[in-house]
Amino acid sequence: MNPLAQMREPITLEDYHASRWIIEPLHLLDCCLVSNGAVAVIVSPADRAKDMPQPPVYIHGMGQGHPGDSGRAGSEWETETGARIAAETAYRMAGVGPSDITCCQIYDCYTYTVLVTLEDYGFCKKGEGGPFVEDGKLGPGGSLPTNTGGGELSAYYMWGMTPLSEGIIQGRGHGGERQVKNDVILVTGNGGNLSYHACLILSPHPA
Amino acid sequence: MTQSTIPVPEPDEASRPFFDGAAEGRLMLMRCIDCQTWRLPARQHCDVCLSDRYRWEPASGRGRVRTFGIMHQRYHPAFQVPYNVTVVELEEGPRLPTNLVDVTNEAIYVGMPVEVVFERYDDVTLPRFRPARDL
Repeated sequence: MNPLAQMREPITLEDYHASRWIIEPLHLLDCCLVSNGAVAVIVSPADRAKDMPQPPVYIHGMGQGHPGDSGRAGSEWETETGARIAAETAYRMAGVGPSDITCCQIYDCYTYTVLVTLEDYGFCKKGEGGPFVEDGKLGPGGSLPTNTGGGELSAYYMWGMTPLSEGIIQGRGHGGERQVKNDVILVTGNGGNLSYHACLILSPHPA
Repeated sequence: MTQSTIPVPEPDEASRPFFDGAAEGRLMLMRCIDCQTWRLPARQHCDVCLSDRYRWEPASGRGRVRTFGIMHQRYHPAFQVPYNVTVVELEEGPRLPTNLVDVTNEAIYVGMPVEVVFERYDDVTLPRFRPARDL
């Protein structure tokens, strides 16, 4: 659905299970792509954005969380990431909660990254990310459309700029056949070992 | 002697007591003199109290598997895939990335009790772990 995506052939669950192991339990199709490219974003005051050629997308909230504790004794860094702290800050700033989010653009270096991130953003309880997405709610026509451009797994791996670029495309209403309800868009990005995290809450509506 | 073609760490000033200990069959860890917190890997300052004072102490060599992965992608020609990369949580608390030996990959599980063994390469001895034999 994304003309810029590197991987555009539909895959089945059988294709997934048949793809070779990279580091078990991760199959090839659990891992993001290698891409060459670039993404640029213009950030400006809201009043100046009015006259720009493209419709503006407004920043309603932002957050960061950098526990930096990967590997440290006593840390649960494998499953509890910096996203929890970032979520709290951004939700408070935007005056929204998980139930207000209409679509997500989540850093998906690996498939499981999406699950732990959804948990840390309060969409479901810790450890329940798998069952939460099982009904297909993240996919086309689902109740929580996520990584609508294909994300880092299928579209292109431009680090945090992958979710950000798709957040802006959706916020502008330029998603074409993949356009989803864009009132409140969650954009997330990770650094090393999920121990470094930042997010934005975007909307086409002025803050 | 195990095959010596795999890349092995080169001890430096900070890590030499760890590798010297391994050569003598002891798992040595850095420990804060001021607040007793273990430091692994070796580093100048304590995570908890920021003290730069430390001593080296032998650990028990016992622990449990905290997490592991089975490598199927060959990143270096000397490594025979599939092999395990395992993080062992030591009894003392720190976590040591290592490999399990004397066990099939299929038999490894999170929480598995393990104990240290030492494998000698040409110039360096590395700690690895095997399933614990006396519990």
